[in-house]
Amino acid sequence: MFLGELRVEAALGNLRTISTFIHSIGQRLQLTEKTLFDIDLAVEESAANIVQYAYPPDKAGEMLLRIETMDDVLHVTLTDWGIPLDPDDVKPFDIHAPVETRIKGGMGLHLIHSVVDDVVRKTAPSPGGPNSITLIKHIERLKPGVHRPSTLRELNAMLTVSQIMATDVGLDDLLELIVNELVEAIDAERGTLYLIDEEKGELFSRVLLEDTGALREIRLQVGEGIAGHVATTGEVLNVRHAYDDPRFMRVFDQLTGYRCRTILTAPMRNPQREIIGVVQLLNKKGGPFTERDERLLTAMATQAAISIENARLYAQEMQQRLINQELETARAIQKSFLPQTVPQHAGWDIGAFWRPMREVAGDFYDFYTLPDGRLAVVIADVSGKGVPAALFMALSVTVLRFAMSLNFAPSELMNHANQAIIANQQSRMFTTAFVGYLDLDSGVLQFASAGHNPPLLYRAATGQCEHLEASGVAVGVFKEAAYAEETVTLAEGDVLVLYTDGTTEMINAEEEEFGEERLEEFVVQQASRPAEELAALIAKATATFAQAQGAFDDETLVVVKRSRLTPAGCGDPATAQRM
Amino acid sequence: MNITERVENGIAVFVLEGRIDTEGAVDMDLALQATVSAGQHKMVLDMAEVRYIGSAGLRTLAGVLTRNREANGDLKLATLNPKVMRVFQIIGFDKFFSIYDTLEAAIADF
Repeated sequence: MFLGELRVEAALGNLRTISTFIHSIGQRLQLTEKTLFDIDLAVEESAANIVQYAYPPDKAGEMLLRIETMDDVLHVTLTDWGIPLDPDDVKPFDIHAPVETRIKGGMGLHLIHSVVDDVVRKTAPSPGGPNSITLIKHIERLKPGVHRPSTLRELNAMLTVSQIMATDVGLDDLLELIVNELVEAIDAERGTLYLIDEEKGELFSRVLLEDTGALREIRLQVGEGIAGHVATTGEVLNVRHAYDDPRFMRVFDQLTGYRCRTILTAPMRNPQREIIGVVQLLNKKGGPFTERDERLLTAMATQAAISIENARLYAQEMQQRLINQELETARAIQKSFLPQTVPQHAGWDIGAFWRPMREVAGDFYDFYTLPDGRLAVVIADVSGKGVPAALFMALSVTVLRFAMSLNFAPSELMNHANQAIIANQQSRMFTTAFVGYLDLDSGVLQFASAGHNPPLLYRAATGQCEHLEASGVAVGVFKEAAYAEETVTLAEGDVLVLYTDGTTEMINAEEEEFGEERLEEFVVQQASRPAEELAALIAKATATFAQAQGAFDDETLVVVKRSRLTPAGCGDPATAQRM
Repeated sequence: MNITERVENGIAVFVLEGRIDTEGAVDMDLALQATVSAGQHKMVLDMAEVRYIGSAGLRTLAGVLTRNREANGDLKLATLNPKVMRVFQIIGFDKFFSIYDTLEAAIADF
């Protein structure tokens, strides 16, 4: 039987929370004190091991505690996703060793094995997977009729609240359940749970018991009304005569037709002691709320806060995992669209660099050998980021390749792509692109640009850069867009650098852009580098520039160099140039 | 955990209350080490109200015991409840520590 689950950060401060959880389960199972002590001990030692060894100090991680019974056997499983314990590292504990050596290690494991019946350890097959230790113990229960001093109902309510997160219930279900438990445990007529909406500075209630007619959600300013007062001050408020209290808002009674007499309100604090909401019970049956009710509600509100936070974190994580999986798939698909290798041609040195800011990018580059033997070089930047941009990129690549296969000239190609993209997508995304057809014999480059950053052409003869400009707007914007076509010839030693705005718009801590001038300067300095290396160096330079800022855009570079003709017996071209 | 300290016949008597778990061991270590550092090496712990002890607590106690004995002192334990006593036995620490049924007996044995 599944009893409960607790997911917490693997931190020393959470060991007490785990112990409290174990105790509440123990109470519910009516365990003897000895059994409870042993389980408490084995769990703490196991959890402390995870806290101390599973995760590196600079990288926090989680642990999950799951409790089940099978007949009279209790299974407690602790799972982490960190570094697995190597059993060979644990020396058997020597009970006869002197005290000084005995304290060094293995004591915890020795205790665990001594107080439970069996220990099952599972290690993740690959790093980052789940490692678990299951503590198995035959349990002894108190004999019927032996009752603990605390009322079982209160503890049960508390336990339900703390374990509910284990199941797949959504936050709304959880809130409803918490309110039900509180109302029942304290014997009130109804209850309301308000959460704080930090963005709006409001309290809102998603749970109203029984039929509330038209009223589905209550919103209050933090500070307004009794609940708002408690959310601000953090004090427990026991109002004996609602209609005599100036903070009471009669409007809700008028709306619901319900009449409040007594109101008990307590703040809900998360483990960091921040107030995340307020619980309010209305109309205690058979008299006013007592001091005992105040204490009980305070305690349960804390439990509820932990559960709510856990449920939120859990939901967030699940969502994140789902997103990560999707992104991984998207990235794999996207990578398959990029050229798997750079073209190799005698007399030319070509290199490329591609780094998506997220798992997927809107940037891409492409090489394509045209039917007439020329090499098409493409760089493009899709508007937006992430998955939508990646999908749009896939569309753009397909359209461009299709047009190239039909031997369209660069300007025709842009026209065609523009029409096709406008016809094929409603999402109003667009692509800037530069397309050049390079004649590998003559070095003539015929090119067109759809609003793309003008590539740099380093001229070996002058040691300066030219900008390859051709008029035209991004494709996917105007149906009537027109694209000019230009021609330039790459001479020996010339270097063509294609880039996206991720390079020039990289921003440093002073909010300065890397800019075209810096890029140009860098290219002039480093022009003698091999193409692949130059592309990587530019990316490195921009990353270094932006370091303090930490924000990267997608960055893509393509470098095309026309090699120098090497005089016979004079070594590699780079050396020749430096000499 | 709750720790109070008093001096009786030149011996530091600590009354411990609560859980000597990983967190409690830190509190206890701070309190005991402060006294050790002040040059007091004769200590008795009244453990009647200690409900729990784990390996972190045992490690702390062993450390203080070793330092005290090196300085010709001791760390004597009194009134352990059976569950706590059992943890000492599992690790074999019942052989290292002098353990007494009453606080008076522990103090008188210096």
